[in-house]
Amino acid sequence: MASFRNSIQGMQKGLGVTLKTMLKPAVTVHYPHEKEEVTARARGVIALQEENCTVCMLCARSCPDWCIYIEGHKEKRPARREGGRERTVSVLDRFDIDYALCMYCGICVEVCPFDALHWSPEYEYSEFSIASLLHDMEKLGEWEATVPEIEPLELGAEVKKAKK
Amino acid sequence: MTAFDVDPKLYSPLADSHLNVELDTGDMVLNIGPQHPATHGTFRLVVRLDGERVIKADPVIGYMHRGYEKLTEYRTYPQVTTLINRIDWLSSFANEVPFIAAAEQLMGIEAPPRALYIRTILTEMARISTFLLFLGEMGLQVGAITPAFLGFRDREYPLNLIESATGGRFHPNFNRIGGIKDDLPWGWIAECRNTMRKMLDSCDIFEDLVLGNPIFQARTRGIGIIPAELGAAYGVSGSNIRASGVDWDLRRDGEPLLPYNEIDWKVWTHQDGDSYARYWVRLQETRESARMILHLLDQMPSGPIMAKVPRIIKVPQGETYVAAENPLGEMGYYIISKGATGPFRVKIRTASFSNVSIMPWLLQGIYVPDVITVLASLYFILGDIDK
Amino acid sequence: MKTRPIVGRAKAGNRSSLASDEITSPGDAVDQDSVADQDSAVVTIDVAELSAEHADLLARFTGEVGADAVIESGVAGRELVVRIEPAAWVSAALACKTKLGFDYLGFVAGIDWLPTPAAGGDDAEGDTSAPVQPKDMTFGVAGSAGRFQVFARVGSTKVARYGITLKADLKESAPHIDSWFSVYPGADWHERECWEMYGFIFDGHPSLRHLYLPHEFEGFPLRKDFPLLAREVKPWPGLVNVEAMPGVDDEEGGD
Repeated sequence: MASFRNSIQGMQKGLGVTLKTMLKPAVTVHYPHEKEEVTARARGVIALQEENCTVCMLCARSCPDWCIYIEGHKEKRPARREGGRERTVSVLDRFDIDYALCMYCGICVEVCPFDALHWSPEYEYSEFSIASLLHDMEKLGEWEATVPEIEPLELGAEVKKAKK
Repeated sequence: MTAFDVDPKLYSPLADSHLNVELDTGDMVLNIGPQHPATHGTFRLVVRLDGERVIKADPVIGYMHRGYEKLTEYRTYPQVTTLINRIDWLSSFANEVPFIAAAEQLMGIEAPPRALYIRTILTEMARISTFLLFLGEMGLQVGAITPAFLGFRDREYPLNLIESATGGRFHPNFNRIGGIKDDLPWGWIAECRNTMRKMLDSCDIFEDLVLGNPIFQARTRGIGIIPAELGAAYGVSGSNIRASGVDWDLRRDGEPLLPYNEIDWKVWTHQDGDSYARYWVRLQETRESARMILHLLDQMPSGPIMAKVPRIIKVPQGETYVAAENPLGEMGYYIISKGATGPFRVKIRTASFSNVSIMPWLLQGIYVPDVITVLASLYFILGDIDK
Repeated sequence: MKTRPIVGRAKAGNRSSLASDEITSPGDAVDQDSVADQDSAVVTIDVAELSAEHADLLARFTGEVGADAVIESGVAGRELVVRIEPAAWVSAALACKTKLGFDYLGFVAGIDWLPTPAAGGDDAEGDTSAPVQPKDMTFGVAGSAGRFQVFARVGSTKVARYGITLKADLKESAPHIDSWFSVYPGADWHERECWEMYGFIFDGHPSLRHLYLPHEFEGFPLRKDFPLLAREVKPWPGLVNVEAMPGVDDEEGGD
């Protein structure tokens, strides 16, 4: 009999929690209708600032998954100063990231010496087939607009010298 | 001839055959998994049953084997860090720490105190999020749905914190050799304090709702008992062995990788060794972790987060074994380096692998419904078994 | 490298099921006082001193196993590494478990000391993604007689806060060694894994079946001469792929 009473008490407790939670606002988000807020640091997608890229291949080389494909060609550019020599620059022809392979580790963003790659918290780029997850330069460039500002750091963080 | 033996001739052949049909209790082989909600992934368990009792259980693993030990040989140290995130995907941050610590040890680098504190906080947060999932899901395995929802809801809070600090919700990849990638964002510490108080409350709810529940107790008490000596000989570690009364926690007794000795905390053990004890210990550890984080936040040192590290990371020749207390148990890396940018051989000692290897012994003689509760109470992650 | 003090646990007698020994920082005077109040001894060991402790452990180990079974020893991190005769593999485990108090099985695994073949470095066809390992065969702590070695770590939940790693050499032609299953039942899965990954045969193992891989799998994937196909079926995308301008030598201009 005591165990029966215990069971009833257990059930009451459970239902009590249910009732309490029912009166609180829902924590879930109805996704397509409302979007969840993503933190600024979230590694959603890699955006490319094309002008900064010098086709040095560092990102493609350090990628653990071999998912970055880069091609480029050389071009003459007029001198920056009057009387200077003509410059030869490497121009990007192709910069593809295969998001089907990408592990979102961020090594490419970190190794880039010219700040051409950035993390964007954007996450809505699902596709119906794996092959269409290979995104090209233009698409990566569009994401550049969604890259957030750098957040301030917590108290006690070391003040970094301004970036060169 | 005993008193109970009766001359078979007394029975008619017909009655005899009737008896045989009714009492035919030949063994039955039951296949649980590979796709079964109680197995957290693709884990298959072949059990031979005598009626409702398990005679023999044979776990079949390997459906998710990704060959990390081979892959590490083809990668540099920073690239390996991203890989080992995926071993135990529920507590990825905790996976990174011993590997990075092993590389740091070989290189003779020591991370600055602030980095170590942030590592500790995030490790404990990974522990909380892992255990909250367990606390909820274990309720689900004995038939209560409410705890599962509670567990999934409350787990979001530490995950959000991990995401806002590291950028990765499940795969932070935040540790670097010599420190961590970035400092915490503004407002994180205050948010963390609030969350930890929430976690303490939610532990109270779990204690009240699940542990105190008579049905839960009836389903878990005295079931799946792991004796301490046998558990150790099988290599069972972490909360599973602490639930068998072994007072052994690598955070305290192992290598001092993280500043656990600078705060005041407790190692929880339980003498029973059954499913209930494992739940109880994990609940207390969740609470303890939340308290530890509050302590750590109070004492957080300021300063740099990265030590001086060469641009190209080459780890000098040597060998080392570094293990840490992962949420699931002892997670260790035996690294053999030959002075290159990548390891020569990494032996990954995962917790779940050894924890689950006791299963053939543990499941012998228990009833089918209890198989699921014992499985759930051992708490394994398939990625951690299959590597 | 800075040595950090290691604070051990208090006496085992003080343990209860719920209360545990407090961990304190030895530098923190307040904490130390509080521990002294609780009448529990705090053992402080320096990393530098650890070698003495290792020496002591090694002496005890040698005493149990026999001096002729121990070939070489060394220290890896905090671990004592001992290379023993393969014939003494099981008796060493038994001594560790019953006499030295190493009741906990860490792992059993294998090593292949063969230098990493071609992949990586300048020899590979342009692919420099894999780390360049030395080309000659060198051995790690406690040495090795040849290519194959089995190594296992045992720890303790009671006496020591570090473990002991045992290594034994295997013949390349016939990599046989006795199974630890009778001593540490947990060695079952580890040995199955080691067998399918390296092809080491553990004599006395109850059922040396595949653990991870499908039953019809051929070859031993963790041996160094087993290629990682994922790295071979696809060209490395890291090769410099910049088309030079026609008629102009590849020289950076600029001002």
